[in-house]
Amino acid sequence: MENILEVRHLQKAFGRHEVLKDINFTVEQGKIVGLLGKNGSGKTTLMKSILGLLSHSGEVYFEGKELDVKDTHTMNRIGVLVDTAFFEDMTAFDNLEILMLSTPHRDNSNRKRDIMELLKFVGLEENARERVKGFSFGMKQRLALAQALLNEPKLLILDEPFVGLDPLGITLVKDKLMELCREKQASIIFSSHQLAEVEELSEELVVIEDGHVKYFGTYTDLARQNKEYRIIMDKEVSLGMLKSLNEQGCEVQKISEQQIRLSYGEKTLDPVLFCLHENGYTICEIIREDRPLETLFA
Amino acid sequence: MSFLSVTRVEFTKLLRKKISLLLLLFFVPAVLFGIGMLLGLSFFVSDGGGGGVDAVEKSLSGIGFAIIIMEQSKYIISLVIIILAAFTLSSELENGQIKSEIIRICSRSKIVVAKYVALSMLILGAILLSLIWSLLIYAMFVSKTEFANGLLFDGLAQAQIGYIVFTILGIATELAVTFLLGVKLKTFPCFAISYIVWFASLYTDFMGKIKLLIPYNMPNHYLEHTGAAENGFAYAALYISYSLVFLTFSTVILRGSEIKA
Repeated sequence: MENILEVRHLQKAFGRHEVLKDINFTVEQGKIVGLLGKNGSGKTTLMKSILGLLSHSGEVYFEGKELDVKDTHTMNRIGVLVDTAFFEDMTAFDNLEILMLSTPHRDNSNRKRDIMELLKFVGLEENARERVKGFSFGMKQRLALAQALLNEPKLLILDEPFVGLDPLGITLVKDKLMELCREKQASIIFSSHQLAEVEELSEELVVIEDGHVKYFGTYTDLARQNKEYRIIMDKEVSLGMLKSLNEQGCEVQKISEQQIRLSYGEKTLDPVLFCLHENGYTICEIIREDRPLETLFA
Repeated sequence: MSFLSVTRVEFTKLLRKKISLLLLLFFVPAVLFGIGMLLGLSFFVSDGGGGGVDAVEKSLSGIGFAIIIMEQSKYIISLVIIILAAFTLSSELENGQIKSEIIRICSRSKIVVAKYVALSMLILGAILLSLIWSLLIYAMFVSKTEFANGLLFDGLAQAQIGYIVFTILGIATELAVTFLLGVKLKTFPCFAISYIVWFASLYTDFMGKIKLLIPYNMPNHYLEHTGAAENGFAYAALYISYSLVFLTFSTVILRGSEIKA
């Protein structure tokens, strides 16, 4: 499948502080990519750099060509929700209308209808004539999403689109994003700290740590690499046993006298089981507890 | 997207912003002075010593009244236009509303110049309307008083028109200075410094003829010399070039700036 976005060796520093050291990843057409990283890892900086709001080194390609942030045709095919700010003393309708009027190459002859459709799409049609000042954070997030969708974008860049949304709002936004991908073949890259949403939406993940891409790949691969087990044994697990398991390459944690939690990236558990048997332990139960995304933030 | 379209959007935005209602303050002094003069309140009328409308004998024409009102309300006018200019560029940069425009319109220079032109047009419109408003107030209240000659224009037309033109050019410079400061400063410091610069420039009388290099000194100077004392066109060109230079610097700085908000 064709890459809609490709980031190569992107670097960004604020003074001497290098936030992004060498970022490489791609987004395929029609795919949803989750961008993960701890607070301050540079997710927003990466998004702003891609959009040309921050200067950077490295290359960004959009639909196979180097992204020219001065080309209105190209830039208007990208929908953006990154620290969206509104004119608070204007209504939701006015905010969208102003943005629509300032969108080049757009047919605005039916803009009133288009705006109302967009507001309906994000569940704000009844608040169209209310001032944004009175909106809750969740309503502002939905309005920001409407702004991002304004020009039927081919690529959506969304920074924390679920923040401040209630469970109903999260479901609504999730459904809308999936609908966009399915029906319009739009691609989405979004950052979030809500791992459940990332897990549900993303086909691929980009995990940033220390300015580098720590993981880039499918969620399934990640799950395969980060299996976690709870093992219940017949007697108390000694410190020596824990040390032996560590030496086998396991990340191990004692959770009760006879239980350990064990993370092991290899295909089979055979070496671990052999080690336990050799030390006189009988295994009562093995419970698989996959929490692949959490492991990335450990 | 054409420059005209961007300017139109900026103008629409200004009309919808609540803060633009501050322009209504331009219309208040004429009412106060008009009614004050009708009632003969001493605060509003002076004998030429300053502090009120110079209305000695029956000499005040309609345009003369309008210009005196403009002179009396220059502190309010400057305050309002500097606030509007700071909110038009600096505030949008500080709060991040400008991001969407930069991503969509792409040309930062076009955005800055369009904002400047739209705001200038709005202020120019408000000033012209306030002049007409002053003439109406004159006709309704002042023309019947002992201070008025009942004429719309008098023999000082050239100087009076010059006063208005140079006031407008001064405002254009103020806007450009505020825009230049606004590219790098947050809204309040931008407003405060711009207002202080303008206020300080009012006290440059000691500089002799050099003071005319500062546009805010020209309207009164032109009026005092009944429009014939100086080469008006040369000074007008100089003041326009100030605005252009400040605006050019604003666009150059913004082009190289990072949008962090």
